[in-house]
Amino acid sequence: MMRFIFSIIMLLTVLMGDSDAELTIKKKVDNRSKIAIADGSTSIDNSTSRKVFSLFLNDLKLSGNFSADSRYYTAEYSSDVLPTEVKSNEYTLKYQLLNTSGASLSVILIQNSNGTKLFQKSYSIGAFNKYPFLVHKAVSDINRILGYGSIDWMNRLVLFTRYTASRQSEIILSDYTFTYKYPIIRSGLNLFPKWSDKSQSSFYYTAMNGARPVLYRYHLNNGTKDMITSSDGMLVCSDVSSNGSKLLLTMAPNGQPDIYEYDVATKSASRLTDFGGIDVSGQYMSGEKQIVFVSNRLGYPNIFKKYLTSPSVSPVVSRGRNNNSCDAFGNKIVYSSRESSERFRGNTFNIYLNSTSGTTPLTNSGDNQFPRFSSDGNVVLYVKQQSGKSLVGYVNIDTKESSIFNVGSKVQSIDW
Amino acid sequence: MKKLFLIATVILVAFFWTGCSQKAPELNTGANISDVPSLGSDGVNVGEHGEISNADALRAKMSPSGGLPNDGSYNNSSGGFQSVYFGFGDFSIVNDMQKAIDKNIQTLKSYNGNIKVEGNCDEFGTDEFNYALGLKRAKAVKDALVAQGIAAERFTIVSLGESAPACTNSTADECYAQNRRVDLHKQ
Repeated sequence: MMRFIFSIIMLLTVLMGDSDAELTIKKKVDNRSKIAIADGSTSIDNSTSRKVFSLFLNDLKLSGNFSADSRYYTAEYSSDVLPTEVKSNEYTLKYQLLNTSGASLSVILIQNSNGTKLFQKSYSIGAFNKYPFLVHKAVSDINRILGYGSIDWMNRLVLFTRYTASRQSEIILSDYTFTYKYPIIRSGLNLFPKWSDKSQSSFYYTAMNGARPVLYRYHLNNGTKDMITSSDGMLVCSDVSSNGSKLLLTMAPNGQPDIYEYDVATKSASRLTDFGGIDVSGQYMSGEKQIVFVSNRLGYPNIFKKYLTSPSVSPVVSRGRNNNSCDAFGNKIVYSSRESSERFRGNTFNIYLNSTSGTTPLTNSGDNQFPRFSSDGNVVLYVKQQSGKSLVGYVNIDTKESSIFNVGSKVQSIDW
Repeated sequence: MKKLFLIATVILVAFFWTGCSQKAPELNTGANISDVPSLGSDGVNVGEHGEISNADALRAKMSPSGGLPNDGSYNNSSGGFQSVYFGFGDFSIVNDMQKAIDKNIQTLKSYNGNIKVEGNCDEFGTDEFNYALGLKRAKAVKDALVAQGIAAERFTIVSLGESAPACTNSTADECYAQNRRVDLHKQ
């Protein structure tokens, strides 16, 4: 009886608590390098200084390789003297940001035990409000210099669509923390941006402004666009092959949404799925020999996979009654799964990682969807819906370190 | 342990007591149109019908899967057409949705032009799946009209996903239900 009552209390505590805390397992905590951050900027307003400090702090944390001192230190950039308090850390990262016809950032990495300068570099960019990209580049360089491998995913540009009014949206370019945001395409209903190659110099998107949806490729360097194809009903570019030559499209030429592989050079499409219900969100996996996709062929949205050359389809996920988004990297799959059955509100969707070592949760509360692997497969981006707004979270798969950022509006789709 | 038992009992009693103490909402039946004083012959003709005055009564009229009643009380279409409302995650024409199809057949008897059929969704789920769901809804409406003799080539179907909500100002069931619909317009 007591065990039953205790279980009820625990259940109520979980239900009423509804904590939004992210899953943060401090794995390998003892192996991380302790680092302090010291601001040597003198001509930047206090608000911007704090933002820059927060960017450094978050980048170091999310790398999974640093235990960053969260105290805000200042130090004269050109002096070798450091605050006494930083000495409890192994390293100090000292920086100076200047606003001189753009943004200029200088960084020095100092080994606190003997004052040795391990790394020194300056960065610049044409517009001051693009300074977040300089911070991310500096941190990824420091990570590499110290032998921790690549975290270049930090330098990736993020593209997302947000609705602005009924049948109106805009496609925004941002850094991964959404500190820098710039609208690339405005006016009308333009959706589903997808980077067209690794260099991030152009992207595909769907324009819904005529009788039929049209897929365009937009070139960032000159602002021009090429029409790729169009289809009745719906048209989405869900994935691009690693060399950019093939696209996975969801098209509905007869009102029936199925997944097609489109050859960019020959402008021809071959149908990969043939089902009377809904097949969407195709993603390449396993060296682009297979695709993983979302289908309602069991009566509810779930994750399936198939070889490109075979008609047979097999389910990937056996849990959850609504698994409606997925991504793949190599043989790893991430997907969202509904954990509750509220018909109209308050459902919990969590992100799961499916790999050869089993299935593990990457989030533990809230409405989390739209998982997207980083370019190196080590970090997963996801969209958390909360009170009609979107937050974007990142989870380091190995360390489980996570961060979450407020986008400030509702995200329709996202790519990085 | 006694203290724990006492706390648990208080919580459980409070929880269930709070849940049971809500008074059942009542329909506003006090003033129907016949109670309103005549407005005389000043050219103002107030035609009102089908008003639902509380959410519980509306829920009772919704389909088991959360579709709005297809009796003309809601409409987002133009040109004399009637929107068709769907349940949560559904894209089949069932139950009273046939009433809306019949209404649209009547309208098409006096219109020989082309028709645009737009499928819409609520905000639940990811947008790519929702665009496909909206499309399946639009196709279901088109197929139902074609089955009654309307030429298929007169239709253009498109999905607007969750980009064109009819209701955005509430998180109530009936607000979301207004967005699970197919609208028809003359082209």
